[in-house]
Amino acid sequence: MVKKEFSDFQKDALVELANIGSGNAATALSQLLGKDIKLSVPSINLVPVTKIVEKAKKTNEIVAAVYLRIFGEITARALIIFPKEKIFSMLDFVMKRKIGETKELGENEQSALKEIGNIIVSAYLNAIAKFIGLNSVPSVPALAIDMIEAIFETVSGEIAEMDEEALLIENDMIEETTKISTTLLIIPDKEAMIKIMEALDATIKGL
Amino acid sequence: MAENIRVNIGELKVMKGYFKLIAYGIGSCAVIVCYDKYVPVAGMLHAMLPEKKKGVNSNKFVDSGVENLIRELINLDVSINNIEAKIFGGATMFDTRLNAESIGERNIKKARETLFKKGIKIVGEDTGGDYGRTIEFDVFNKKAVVKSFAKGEKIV
Repeated sequence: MVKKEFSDFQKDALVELANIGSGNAATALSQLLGKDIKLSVPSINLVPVTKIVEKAKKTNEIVAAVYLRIFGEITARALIIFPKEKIFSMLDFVMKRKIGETKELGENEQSALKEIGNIIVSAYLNAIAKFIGLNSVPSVPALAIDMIEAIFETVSGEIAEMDEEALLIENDMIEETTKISTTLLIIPDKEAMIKIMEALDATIKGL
Repeated sequence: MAENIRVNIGELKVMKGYFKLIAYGIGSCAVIVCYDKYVPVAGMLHAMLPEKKKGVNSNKFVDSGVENLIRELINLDVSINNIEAKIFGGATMFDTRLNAESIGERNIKKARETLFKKGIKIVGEDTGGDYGRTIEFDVFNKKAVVKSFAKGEKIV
């Protein structure tokens, strides 16, 4: 069972794990955009499933969200959130277009967004696999451009079918010149948490 | 002006008089409104999952939440014969191709089933699809304004 509170040591270890994952994810995003990406310190919170939606700070804010399930030795969910007003400039960079060229979200643009999500999450998982030896892969990515509460609410519903609470590992990345901010949430299943903690313990002992 | 009452995930609110019951950004959740068709009394349920788990009877679930909603209306002297319902939400926001039936679809199915068992007629709805909705239900005139990014605004 995951305890209500982590020890400081466990929390530090989780933050370190998230740092390693998001560092690799940011490198991947940086290569995709051809821009430098700044990372903030990951935040880790155990919250009841009905409170996940409180992550939405503004009501009815529209965002683009890519959602993936993660399977393998770690089972989890990943949600990547891009602010809607930055999607077009992000796609200009990724698709090597002139600035301002992307004006609509056609099929190509939508697949590009999904692919960005897939690449970021895969990079994250690869780094974790190297660090603690747990291998996992993401599912086919799904995309929604909609109200942020509706997105969080839907993901909470899926988690609520299994668990009463969720561990939110939040990683924020920002491209500073155009202020493209990307939030990556990794939400491991309860079972996966136990495996991660055990693997972290074993890794730290082996260092 | 009607006072706005926010109904968050897993909550049930029943109001009498000049109120607006509001649920923001509904994705796969189901929002079920039941009201007295003659007097301004209404309740809104914002449920997350279709069926209650063993021993848990809460407003997080469509089946137990609808039971609670109807009980609360009856406690306010509403006759069950005068209750009508409107249902909202139950979208499939993400097509992950992993499940035959999404949580949204199952939520709406359970809402229909539970209301049918109680003999309550569904007189309006805006359900399904792949987009989120904000629902503002006016307790006084029993109309809901449904707002979505994908489809704009409509009155149910």
